[in-house]
Amino acid sequence: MSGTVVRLALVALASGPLVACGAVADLTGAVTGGVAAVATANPIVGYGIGIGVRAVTTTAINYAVRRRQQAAQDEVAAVIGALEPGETRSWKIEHDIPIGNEHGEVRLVRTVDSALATCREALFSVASGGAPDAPRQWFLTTACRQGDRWKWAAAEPAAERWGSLQ
Amino acid sequence: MTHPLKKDPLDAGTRGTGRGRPAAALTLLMLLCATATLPGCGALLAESSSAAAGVAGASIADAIGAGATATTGIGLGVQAGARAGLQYAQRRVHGAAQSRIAGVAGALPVGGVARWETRHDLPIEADEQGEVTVVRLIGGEGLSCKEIVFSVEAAPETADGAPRRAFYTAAICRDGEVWRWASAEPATERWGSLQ
Repeated sequence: MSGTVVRLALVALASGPLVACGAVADLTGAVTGGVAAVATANPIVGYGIGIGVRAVTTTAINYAVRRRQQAAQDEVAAVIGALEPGETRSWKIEHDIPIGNEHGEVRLVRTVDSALATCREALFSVASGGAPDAPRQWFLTTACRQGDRWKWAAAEPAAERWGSLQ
Repeated sequence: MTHPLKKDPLDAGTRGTGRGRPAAALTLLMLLCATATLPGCGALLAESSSAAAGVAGASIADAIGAGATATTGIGLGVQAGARAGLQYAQRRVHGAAQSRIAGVAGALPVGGVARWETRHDLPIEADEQGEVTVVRLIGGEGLSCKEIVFSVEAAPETADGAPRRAFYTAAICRDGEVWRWASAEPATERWGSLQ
C-alpha cells in the first residue's frame, strides 16, 4: 500500500508547490479512519485505524522523499569529487519517477585539508525542468571522500536553529 | 585525548513519553532504534509514539463517556502533545551531542585530532563516537570560530577490523567559555523532507 501512497504523494507534490506532502498522509488517515468508524460503528476503532494509517503513510512518504534527496546529494558529491581546481561541471539527477528532476553546475571553491579526511567545499546551482531559462539558485556545501567515493558532508544545523525543520 | 564519559544532564527529565500499554510497544521501538541505526527511525518513532498516545487518550475519553466528537478531539490533542514532547526530547538529545563534539573540538589546535563519543540516557538516538579535527580558524575581533571535520563510526566493524567511518563538516563558535555548534539551517528551498 505504501508504494501507492508514495506515488499519490509525489503526484500531489508535482501538482503544485503549495500542496504539502504531509497533507496526503493526513487525508489518507482521515478517509481510512472515517470508513473504519462507519463500518464498525465505533469511533475509537475508527480513530485508532485512522491515526495508525496516517503514521505509516507519513513515515513511508518521508522515507521515499529522503531517498530521493540522498540520490541528488550523491550525484552532486560525485561531481565535486571529480572536479579540478577552477573547473565547472554540470550535474543532474533523473529519478525513476520523473518528478522533481534537477540539474545545474558545480564549482570547486577550495580543498579542505584536514587530518581526518579529504574534503572539498563547492558551489552548486539547482534548476528544475528542462527550459534553458529555468530559474536557478546557488548553494554552498561540502563533500568528503569516503573510501572510493565522495559523499555529502554538510552536517546538521545547530539544534537551536532547527525550528520548524523538525 | 578522550572526552570524559559522563551522563548527559540534558537527557535527564525527558523520560516518560507515553505510559501504559502503548508505551510498551514504544519502548520496544526505542530499543530497536538504539540497537540498529535504522534509516528514518526517528520519524517512525515520532509518528508511532504520538499515534499511540493519541489512541490511548481517545480510549480514556471514550471510557469516561465523552461523545464521539469530544473523544476524537481529546485523542488528537493528546497526540499533538506527545509529538511536541518527543520532538523536544530529540532536539535536546541531538543538541547535547553537538555540544559534546564542539566541546572536544574547542580545545583542539588546528590539525589536532581527538576522540568524541555520546552516551544517551534516552535511547531515541543511537550512541555515537568518532574523531574530530580542526581545519581552520574563522572569525575576527571578539569572534572566535573554527571549521571542523568529524567522523562518525558505525558500530559494526568491517572485516579488517577498522570501523566504517562517515565524515562531516561543521562550524563551531565560542560563546564565553563554551563552544557551540554554529552551522545554520539549510536554505528553505533545500529543506525537502526535513520538514
